[in-house]
Amino acid sequence: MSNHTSDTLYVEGLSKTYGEGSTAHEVLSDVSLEVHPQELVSLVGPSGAGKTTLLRCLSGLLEPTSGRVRLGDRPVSKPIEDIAVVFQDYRGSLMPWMRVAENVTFPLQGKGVAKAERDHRAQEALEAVGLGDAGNKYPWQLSGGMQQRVAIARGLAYEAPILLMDEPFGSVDAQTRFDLEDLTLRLRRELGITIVLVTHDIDEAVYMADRVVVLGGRPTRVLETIDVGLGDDRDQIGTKENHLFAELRSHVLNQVRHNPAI
Amino acid sequence: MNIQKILLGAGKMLWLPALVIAAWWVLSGTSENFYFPPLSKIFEKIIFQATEGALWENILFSMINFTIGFVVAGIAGILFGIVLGSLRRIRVAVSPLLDFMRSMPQIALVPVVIMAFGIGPEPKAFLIGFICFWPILLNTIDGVRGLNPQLLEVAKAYRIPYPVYLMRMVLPATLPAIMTGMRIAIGLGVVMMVVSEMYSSTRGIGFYILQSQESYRITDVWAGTIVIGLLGYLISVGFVAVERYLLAWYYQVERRRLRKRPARAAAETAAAPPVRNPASEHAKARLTADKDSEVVVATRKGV
Amino acid sequence: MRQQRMTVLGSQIGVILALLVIWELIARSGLAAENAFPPFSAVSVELVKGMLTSSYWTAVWQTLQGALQGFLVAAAVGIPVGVVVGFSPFLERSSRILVDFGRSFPAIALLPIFVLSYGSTITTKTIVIAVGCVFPIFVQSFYGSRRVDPAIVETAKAFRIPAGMQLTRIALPSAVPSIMTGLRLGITMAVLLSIGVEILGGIPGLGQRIAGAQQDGASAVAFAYILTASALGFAVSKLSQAVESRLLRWRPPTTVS
Repeated sequence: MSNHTSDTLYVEGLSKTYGEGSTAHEVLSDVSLEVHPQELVSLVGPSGAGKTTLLRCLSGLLEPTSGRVRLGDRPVSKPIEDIAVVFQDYRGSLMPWMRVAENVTFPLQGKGVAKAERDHRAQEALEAVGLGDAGNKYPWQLSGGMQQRVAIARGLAYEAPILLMDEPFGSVDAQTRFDLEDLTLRLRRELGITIVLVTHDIDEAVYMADRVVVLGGRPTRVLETIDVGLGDDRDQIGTKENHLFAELRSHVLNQVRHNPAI
Repeated sequence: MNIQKILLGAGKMLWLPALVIAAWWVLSGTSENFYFPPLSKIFEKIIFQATEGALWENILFSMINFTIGFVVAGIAGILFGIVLGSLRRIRVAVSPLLDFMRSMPQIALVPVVIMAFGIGPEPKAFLIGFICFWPILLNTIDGVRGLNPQLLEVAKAYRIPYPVYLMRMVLPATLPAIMTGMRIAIGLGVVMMVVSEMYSSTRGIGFYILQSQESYRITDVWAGTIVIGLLGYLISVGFVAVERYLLAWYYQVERRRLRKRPARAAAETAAAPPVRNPASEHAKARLTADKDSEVVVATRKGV
Repeated sequence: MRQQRMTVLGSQIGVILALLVIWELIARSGLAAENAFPPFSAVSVELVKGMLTSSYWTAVWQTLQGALQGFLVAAAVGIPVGVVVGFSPFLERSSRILVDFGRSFPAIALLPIFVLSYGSTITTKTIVIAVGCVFPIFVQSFYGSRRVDPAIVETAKAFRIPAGMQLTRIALPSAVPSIMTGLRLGITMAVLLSIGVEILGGIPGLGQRIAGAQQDGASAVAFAYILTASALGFAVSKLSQAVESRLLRWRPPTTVS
C-alpha cells in the first residue's frame, strides 16, 4: 500500500434537518470543520448528537440540507474514491456469504482493479491488521474484534487516503478495543492516511486524536476544537497516566456534560 | 463403532415408519373391504404400473408441468420481489392487490383456465406457476425489506455498481427468505398439479387416479395416491438438499448464534431470571444502524 | 402526514381501478374468447344478481362450513400432538420421516378414495380438509414447543421443574405464537382445499358453482363466484391475522416478519 497524500477535507456551514413542516427536526446546525492530510480527528459528543449523521454527510452517503463538504476543490456530494468507511456494526457490514478475502476485494472489483492486483492488495491489507492467514475463512468463524479488523482491512485495501470510522470499536470488549485503537494508530503512522473517528468515548477520542472536535447542544453544533498535544507516540498506560491527558479528558467531559443533546 | 452409531441413528428414525407400514400391511392383508384393499395388492399394482403400465410416462408429464410452472414463477417472483422490495412507493400502491391475490383460493381458477385453454399441458403449467408465484413474491419482498440497511451503506460508500449490488449483496442476503417462499410454493404447486390433472386431463399421475376412480379400480386409485405422496416427498427432500447447499453460510451463522446462546444465558441466570428477548439480532442491528436518524426508522416501518 | 396517507390510499385505489379498466378493455377487445374471459361489467352484474338470491349465500356458507369443520378437527389433533412430539426428542426423531411425508403429501389426492367410500358429501369434504390442514398446524406447534428459548430450558432444569410442568407451563405457552401461525396457515389452506374439493368432487359449495357455471358456458357467473371465493379467502386471512395479533398482544412487536 503506497502512501497517499490528499487534499484537506472541508466541512462548511453544514446543517441537516429531517422531515418537513411541523415535524421538522434539525439535527446538525452550521457545523464547520477542517481535516488536514494525515491528521487524525476525533468527533466526540453525547449519544443522539448526530455524530453518525455528520459522518454520513462527510462520506457523501447523506446529502446535507445546507452547507457543503469538499475535498480540496472537489465537492463530496456522493461517495468518492478517496474516502473509505469503516462502519460501526461489523455484523451488518461484512457479508456472511463471502469469505474474508472476498469481503475485502469485493469493492475493488467495482473500482475495476484486476484480479491479481485485488488479491495482492487484500492479502497486504489483511496482513497489516494481523489477519494474513484468515482470508479463506468466513466472517462468522472469527471473533468480533477480528471481524472489525476485516472491515478495517477492507477500508485499507480500497487505498483511499481518507478513512472515516463510525464508532468502529463500539461493539467489542474493552481489551480488544485497546488493541484495535493501537492497531489503528500504527496503521495510520505507517500508511500516512487521514482518519476521522466518530466516538462517544471521551478517553478514546483524546487518546487517538491530533485534534478533538466536541459536538453538542441542540441542534448539534461544534462546541470546541481542541488540539491534543500528546505527541505521536501513545500507549494505553503511559499516555493515559499523563496529566495532560487527564486535563484534556476532564475538559471534554465538562463540555459534553453541560451541553446535553437531549 | 461409527457404523454402529449410524445404524442406531437410522434405527431411531426408521422404526416408527416401518411399524406403520407393517401394521398397514398386516391389518389390510385379509381385507375384504372394497374401498380398503390390502397394501400388498396396492404394492403389486405400483410395480405393475412401473414395469408394464404408463406410470413413468404419467410421472414425467406431471413433473414437466410442475417444473416449468415452478421455475417461471420462481424467476418472476424473485425479480418482481426485488423490485417491489426496493421501491417503496410502488410497493405501497400495489400492496392491497397483492394481499388479495395471495389470499384468494387460486384453485378456483382451474375450471375457467382449463375450459378456456384446453386440457393440454400449458394451462396446467400456467396454473401451477400462478399458485407458486405469490408466496415466492411476498417472501422475496419481505426479505428485501428486512435487509440490514448497513448493506446499502457499504455498497454506496464503496461505490459498488448497482447490478453488482443486486446480484452479490441483495440476492444472497435475501436468499433465505426466497427459499422459504419456494418451500411454501412447492407444497401449493403439487396440490395444483394434482387438481389440474384430476379436473381434466389425458395424461399425468392425477389423471391416472381420476381415470381409475371413474372405472372403480380402487386399487389403482390407492396406488396413484401413494405414488403422488412419494413424488411430493421426493420433491421436498430434493429441495431441502438444494437449500442446504445454497445456504450453507446461513445455516452456519444460525447454528453458531444458537449454540452461543445457552452459555450466555446460563451466565445471566445466575444473576437474574432470564427475560425472553424477542428482538432478533437482525432487528437490533437495524436499530443501531438507524440510531441517529429516527426518520429513516419511521419510513422503514411503513408498508 | 395526513396528506401523505391520502396519496397512498389514492395510489392504491388507482392501481385497482386501472386493473379493472384493463380487464374490461381486454375482455371487450375480443383478444380473449368471450366465454373464457367476460368483461368486468358483466361479472359485476352477475355478482349483484347473485347476492340477492339465497342460493348464493348457501354456497358461501357450504364452503365456509366445510373449511371450518375440517380446520377444527385438524386443530384438535394437530396442536396437542405437535406440542408433545416437539417436547420429546425421542418422539421427534421417530416421527420425522412420517411428518415430512405427510406435510409434502397433497391431501386433495385422497379425494377420489373418500368420494368412492362416502360419496360427494360434507363428510368427504371435512376429512380431506382435515388431513390437509393438520400438517401445517402440527408442524408449527411442534416447532414452537421445540424452540423454547434455551435460557428458559436451563432455568427450568436448574430449578428442577418436573417434566409435566415443563410441558404445560413452558413448552405450551412458548409455542403459542408459533401455533397461531400454524392456525393461520391452516385456515387459509382449509378454504383453498374446500374450493378444490368442491370443484373436483362435485360437492356443494362455491367451487361446484364455479365449475357448473363454466360448464354451462356462463362464464360471467363463474367469475362472479371466483370473486366471491377470493373475497372469502381474503376475509378469512384478514380475520385470522387480526385474531392473531389480538391474542399475542403480550408479545412486544417485532419489526421484521
